Amino acid sequence: MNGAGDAGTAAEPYHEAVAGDVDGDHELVGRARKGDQAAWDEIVGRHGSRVWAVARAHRLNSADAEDVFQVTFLRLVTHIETIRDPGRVGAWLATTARHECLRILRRAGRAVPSGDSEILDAADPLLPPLEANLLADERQAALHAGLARLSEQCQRLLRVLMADPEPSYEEVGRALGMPIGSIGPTRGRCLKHLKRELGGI
Amino acid sequence: MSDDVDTAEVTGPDDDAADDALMAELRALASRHDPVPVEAIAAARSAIAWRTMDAELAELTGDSSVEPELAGVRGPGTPTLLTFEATDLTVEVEVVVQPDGSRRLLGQLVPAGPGMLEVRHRGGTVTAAADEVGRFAADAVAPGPVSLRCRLGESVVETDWCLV
Repeated sequence: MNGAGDAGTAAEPYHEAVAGDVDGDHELVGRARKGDQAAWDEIVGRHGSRVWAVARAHRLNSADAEDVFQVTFLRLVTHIETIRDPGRVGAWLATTARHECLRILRRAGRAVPSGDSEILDAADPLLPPLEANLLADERQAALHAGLARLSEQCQRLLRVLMADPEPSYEEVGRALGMPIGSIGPTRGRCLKHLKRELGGI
Repeated sequence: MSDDVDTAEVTGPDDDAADDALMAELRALASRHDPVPVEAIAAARSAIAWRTMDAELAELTGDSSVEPELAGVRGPGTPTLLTFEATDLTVEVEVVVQPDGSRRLLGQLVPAGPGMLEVRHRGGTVTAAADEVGRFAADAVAPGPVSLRCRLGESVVETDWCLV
């Protein structure tokens, strides 16, 4: 990615050893395969927010989002022996979560987003309405309201990116059916629109 | 969708830093206001208990509720037909939504033959016996993730988890 001679020569052999496992997911999956509860808990802790964000980005209500969350991790248990690239378990989870979201939307006869700008049936909010105690926080209220005025595509993308820890662009692409190359530019455009909505608060 | 003319302008490190700062604010909003429910995390953590080594996986290969050609003819009460396939066994399951919201599963093992089934669902486990022609029924299955564990003689097949 970086140019040659990029100050990392001493780390080269180490980098070789952990190639594809910069986050430690490969190791965690390996331990979970043996039934290591602590490793599994860490996988859930590390990826849970991202899976939840995928469900919210598809505008699922809390009950449906919990179903997607649960079935996504159950499927990972079922497939944990056979997933091809344990270091990219986040991408696997994003793909599975999106697939389950689309099944729920199709079953309910709701519009299914197809990657780009299609309008989703906005029956469920992207974020729950702010509670009274949060409305008192002017900045949070402004962010919440500003987000809701963005295009559907921007709302969905930003909601996925709002997961903590932040998902990789590969995971975002899988979560939304977006080409990876379009994520960075779209993110920039959406944040620009949001800044405009916020009017420099 | 047409790009705004002003998006073509060159962005510098300051813009990137401002974008990252705004993104961090949004992330804090979601973490504070729409966190993963603790019950969902607890359920996901306990999911590892379903890990099994002795069974072959039957993958979901068919779901009538998402097949576009059927979308127009489906009504709210139409049962969903799910198909799970393993190497030597296919499990077909019709999901019927009951008036009380629970699910009734009507199934068929292919090739036809007797077997014992455990339906694992959110409310626990329901057992069912498949008759000589491979038919089985299970009642009072909770809505949500479901998996069937099928024992046929010496072999055990488990279906993938599926929302019903």
